[in-house]
Amino acid sequence: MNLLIVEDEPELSQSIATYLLQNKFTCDTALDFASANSKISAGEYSCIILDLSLPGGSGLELLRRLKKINKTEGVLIISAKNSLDDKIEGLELGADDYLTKPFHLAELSARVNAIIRRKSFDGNNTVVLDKLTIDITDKTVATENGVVELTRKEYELLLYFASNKNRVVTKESIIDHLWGNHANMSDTYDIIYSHIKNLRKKLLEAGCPDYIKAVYGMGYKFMIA
Amino acid sequence: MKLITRYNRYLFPALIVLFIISTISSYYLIKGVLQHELDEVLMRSKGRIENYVALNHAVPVINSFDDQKVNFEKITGAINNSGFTSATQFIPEQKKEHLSRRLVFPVQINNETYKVTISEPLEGTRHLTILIVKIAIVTIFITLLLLVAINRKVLSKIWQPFYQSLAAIKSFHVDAPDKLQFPNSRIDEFKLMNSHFNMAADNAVRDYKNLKEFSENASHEIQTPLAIIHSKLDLMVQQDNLSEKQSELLRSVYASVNKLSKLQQSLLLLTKIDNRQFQKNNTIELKQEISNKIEQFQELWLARGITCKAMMEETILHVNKELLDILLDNLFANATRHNTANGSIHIQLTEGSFEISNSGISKPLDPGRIFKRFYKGAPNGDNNGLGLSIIKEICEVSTIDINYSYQDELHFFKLSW
Repeated sequence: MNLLIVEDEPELSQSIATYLLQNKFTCDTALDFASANSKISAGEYSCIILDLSLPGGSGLELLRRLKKINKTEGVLIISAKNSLDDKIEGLELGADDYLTKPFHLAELSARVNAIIRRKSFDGNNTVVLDKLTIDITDKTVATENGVVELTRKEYELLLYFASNKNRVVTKESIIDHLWGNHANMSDTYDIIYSHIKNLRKKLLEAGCPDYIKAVYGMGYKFMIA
Repeated sequence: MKLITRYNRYLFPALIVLFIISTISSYYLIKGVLQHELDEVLMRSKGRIENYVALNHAVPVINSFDDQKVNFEKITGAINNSGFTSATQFIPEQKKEHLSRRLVFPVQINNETYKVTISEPLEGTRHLTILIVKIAIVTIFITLLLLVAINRKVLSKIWQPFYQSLAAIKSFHVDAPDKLQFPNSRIDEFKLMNSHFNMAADNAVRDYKNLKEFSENASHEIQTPLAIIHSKLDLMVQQDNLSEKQSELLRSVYASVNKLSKLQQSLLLLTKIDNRQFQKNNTIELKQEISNKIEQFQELWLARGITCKAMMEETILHVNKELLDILLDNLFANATRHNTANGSIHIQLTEGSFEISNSGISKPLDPGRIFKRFYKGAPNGDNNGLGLSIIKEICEVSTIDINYSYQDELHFFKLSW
């Protein structure tokens, strides 16, 4: 799948590309308005990661052009502006999601995957993850042995891992993903730990290999061969 | 004390003293003039008597219809008390003692010496004294009453522009969109005051704008490098060959950068609220919102053994939905973070007020400082000290009152609207 990263800061653009590349995405990058514009007109992308403040023009203008030429690419806005007006305007112009800088690359990956899922799976909204089949619409997980009963948090956690398989996912990013704003409490680490423990146990009981590896001090890694 | 009261405190005694002095001096002056007149009358009588004696060489027969009394007394030797004196005299018609003016002089009639005493009552001056005192008292009262009336009516009207300017200054806010408006005045002092007020206000607004722009720009400029650091760290933790030492360092850097990002986002949020970027109000069923929030926090509470009791009535609130969500998040997080293990949280929602209380440290927080940015009641690594100022700020823009109190070992935050 092909992604376009429109971001004027080369270092950040490169980080995003490096991270997503390992997720079997191919990434194009555009550092300014003009090159972004020509790449959008020429190419087909599964998702466009769009920074709003660009040299040579506004990201919102790009959104307008996309809409004009009837492109149906998914768009994820990443902005330093964190301004509500931009967010509302961006979403009204057809962007699918909005992420404020700074963000976890794991979170970005999860959002991009979610957008692509929404855009490309027509009705058949399932993700196959080794022995697991995740039904996005019904929010259920099954193996060949049947449905694995997961709590909502465990399900969200699994889906987050699915978007970041074979990557180290930090505890901080898991907390932010699952709890959002009100999460920065030390207790949440214990809760994460117990969720992981339960998820792992349920997956093992369903006949899966031990996917979840703890990475010392940092977080967890969902390993799929 | 009002300026006018202070002014009157000097003016009134001075006026009273002035009146007393002028009353006394006019009394003496008028009395002197009258006495002088009386003395001249007495002198004329003396002249007439001397003329009569010089012509007729006999004691004149005095036939007087007024109160003037003339008395002839034959004496031997000289008179030792000749001249004008004041004395009391009995007026038979009025059966009263009266002060009178008396002139004593000698006359020679047929080689005999007579002592002549002419006396005239000082009736007029007595009446005059009473009259003057009466006039003085009445004048003082009328003057004072008049002054009070003038102060009340005229002065308060004259001072009106001053109070209007004060009212304008009082409602002045550095981030208010409208420029400060002062009433027009023809009085130089007020014009000067207003122009100085305007200058000070303009300076304050300009400084505030600069400062705000600076902090906004600073927050935004920090965001990009922070995003780069964050992303690079995300890539770095993917490395397989990190030593334990490197992992340890990386973990520490990562945690701090994460905290910094949170802090920066909180500061930006405060700026956004300050800038009134959340304008749109929504109609919100508060009970539903709070129930959802309780559900979200249930897991955290369970982990710490915190029990939550909620009593809620259906209530509609008109606020910005996004802000309300942030407000509730912060209130709940606050009640959770500063709670004790196995503590409790109580929630009460009634028409017009929402109260959340929690157990915690067993002493009240400093109510004057808790809403200040970066206030930390206790050292707590996970807490950036912005939660309560965000709560306060949201309440302010949503015209909700917030109060903190400490009762029965519980910390109460009460919102009322």
